[in-house]
Amino acid sequence: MSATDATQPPAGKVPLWDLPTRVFHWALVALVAFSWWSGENHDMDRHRLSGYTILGLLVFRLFWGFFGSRTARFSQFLRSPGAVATYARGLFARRHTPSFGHNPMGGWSVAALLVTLFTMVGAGLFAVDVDGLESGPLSDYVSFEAGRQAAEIHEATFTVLLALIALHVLAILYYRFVLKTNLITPMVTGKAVPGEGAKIEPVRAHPLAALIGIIIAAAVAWAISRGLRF
Amino acid sequence: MIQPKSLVLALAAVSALAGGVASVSALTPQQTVSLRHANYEKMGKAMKAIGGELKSGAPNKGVVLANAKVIAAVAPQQGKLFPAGTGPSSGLKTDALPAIWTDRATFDGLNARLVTEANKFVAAAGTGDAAAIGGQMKALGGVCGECHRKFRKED
Repeated sequence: MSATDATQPPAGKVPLWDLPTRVFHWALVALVAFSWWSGENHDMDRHRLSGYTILGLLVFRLFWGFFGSRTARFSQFLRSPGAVATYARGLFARRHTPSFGHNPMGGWSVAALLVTLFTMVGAGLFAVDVDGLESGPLSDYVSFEAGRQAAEIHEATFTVLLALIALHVLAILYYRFVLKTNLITPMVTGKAVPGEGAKIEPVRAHPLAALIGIIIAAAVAWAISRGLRF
Repeated sequence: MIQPKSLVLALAAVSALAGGVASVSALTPQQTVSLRHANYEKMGKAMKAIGGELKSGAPNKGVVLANAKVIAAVAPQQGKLFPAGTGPSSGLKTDALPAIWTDRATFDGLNARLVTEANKFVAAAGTGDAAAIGGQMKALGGVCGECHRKFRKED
């Protein structure tokens, strides 16, 4: 990090979320909605396709959590319980301590969403429907009973996911209307006016790192969609 | 759970010995529900086994045929295992919808189609041709799905 990067004028907008992180976020929103819709309508070919794409996105996000830009890294946003508690007290007292990137509570919410989505996709890969007709690409490695169990987990996890999404949206509304902070626009444009006292750090996605991440993610999703048969 | 399963096996054996149909009326509502449930599970299992063979790209004809025969053997029993008093209002644990008893003609029609398609599936399995097996699996599965949408509680 160079000194000039760290001392940008706080008045103007500065990069906050890199492009891959934003594409990941909105593609995930669209695909979770589409997966729900196709699942409800028994359109299982497209449901599976959507699931593989989500798997690819998740693998990429995992990679990006280590090799992405500053605000995308797990090391940056997974904070200690003490930091979370301090932040939570301030938040509920309507004192907003600005964070540059995920705040200490939001970081763990991201982690919870990622774990839930991985669980859901993972269970879906082994799931079998009640007719034994529609199934995930890895289902023939397990018994019918185990496949049915996986389908139950797949479905139960969706309830957890909906709860986490509701919390996510409620938090955004709380910031918007109580703390007067717009979190949505920066996730679209990538830029934000840093809050008073926020520590600004350079946010730059390395194109080569992104390319490597995309290749790994696509390879994993493709291999699993083939049921690991080549 | 071992007990209900062995009970069902014993019941199946008894029903086979007694000539199938006649003995169904001798079953208690709970036994009827358990038997039809076990039968559907058998068919689901067989279907999944065939699906697994198809996924491998080179289906084993013996495995496919054996499992298709399981479905064809079980299918004709099912329609008779829904006597009055075995629906959800009986208090028994079942995903059967009341519509089975209010729209019996449709339900019976679907059961008849199940038998027809299951027999065609055995014929297709006998050819060993992956495309023929896959095609007939879709046709048979279509009947499963149609009946489940109309007469089975959504999971």
